Amino acid sequence: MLILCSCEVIPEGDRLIPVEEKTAGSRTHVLLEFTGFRCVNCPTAAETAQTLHEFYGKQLTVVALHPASNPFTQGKYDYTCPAADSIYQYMGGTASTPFPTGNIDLTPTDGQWFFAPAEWPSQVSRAMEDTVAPYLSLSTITDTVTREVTISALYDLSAESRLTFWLVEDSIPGAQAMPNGSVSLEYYHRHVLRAVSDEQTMLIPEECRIAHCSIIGLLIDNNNYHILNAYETKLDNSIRVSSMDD
Amino acid sequence: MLMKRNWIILLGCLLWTINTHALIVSVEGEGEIDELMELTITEAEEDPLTGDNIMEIKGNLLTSNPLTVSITRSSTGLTDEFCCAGQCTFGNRETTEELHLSPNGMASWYIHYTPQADSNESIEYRFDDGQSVLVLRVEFNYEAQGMENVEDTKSKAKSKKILQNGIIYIIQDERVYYL
Repeated sequence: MLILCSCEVIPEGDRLIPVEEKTAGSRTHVLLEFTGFRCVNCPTAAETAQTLHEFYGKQLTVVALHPASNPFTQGKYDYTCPAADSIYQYMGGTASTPFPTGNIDLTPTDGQWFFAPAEWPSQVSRAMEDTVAPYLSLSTITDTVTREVTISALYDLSAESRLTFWLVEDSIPGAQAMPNGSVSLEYYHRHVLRAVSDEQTMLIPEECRIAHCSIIGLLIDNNNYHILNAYETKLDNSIRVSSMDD
Repeated sequence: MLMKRNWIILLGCLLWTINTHALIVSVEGEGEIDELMELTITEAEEDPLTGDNIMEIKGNLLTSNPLTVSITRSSTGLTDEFCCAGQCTFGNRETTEELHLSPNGMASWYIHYTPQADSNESIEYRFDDGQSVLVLRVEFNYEAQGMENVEDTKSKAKSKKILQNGIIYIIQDERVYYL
């Protein structure tokens, strides 16, 4: 039996749709959680991040970054991606930066980029005072065979900002040093950054499970790379089209 | 505060043998040692996260003051890690390094050593919280022996080794000897 399906073709001009007049939308902030599987305090920090995410709902997105240039990410397992390390180094992260650490909206506070987990609630609370943001919403179509995601965006793109997309995979089973000094081999790594792209199509890496992936669209200030707004959509919710010949 | 009184303590040395390995830990400081630290040592075993065969020394130190740790390593082969206030920092493997920590109570440090033939390594930490100073020196000597003059006074010792209250323990084959 021949099953022949194909991707729905979306004209390029329809994928990214700038809003002509500047429109205020509700703002989603991003908690960047820098973590590593050899870091004994990182599971506790991940719980803090998850608690904040559940408290603020869609107003707060959490992304866990495993930067290769910090030794806590190095060993028998690999949850790193080059983009995570680029972001980490841009923020001034080094091999001896204390872990876990975090940042809100890729924005320094009083010149400080990195904050200990104990400071995350106050940092997030402070960021939440800023509720107005350029409008942004996304939708995706995922081809489960070619593993290509096509992204459509409706957004307010001023001359001073640009749109970029982060691929995040949730609940990756794996190893983790635990606070009591033990090692868990059945730990679930949450919200792990897998790839970054400025293109409206992305290929999902083979090691990523599509049903656990999300695309986060980010409006970023061109001048200082601060995140102005974010929108997360799960690939599981997108229309899936399989294209294969059998 | 690291220590209250201004007297010099040579806590002594702690010898521990696994096969032909020996570990010597000496602690020098000023003040009351019971506020200072506890020290635990685990046998060399495979680290499931790195695959390396490592011996781990862990210590705790109590202070609420900002803490400066000056590190001198004999080589870049030793790895160490400092934890306080919910965060940990890896040593950068340089032969000399200075870390600035904010313990707000307790700081912990971990030293990881991979026993190897002909591998004699040492590492020295100088902890300074602005009020007192503690120097911890650890020597790893692959071929060292030297338990001949030690008298067994506690044959059923705990498997975890603790150095505290100014008492010097020498540990061999899971047995603790008091000096």
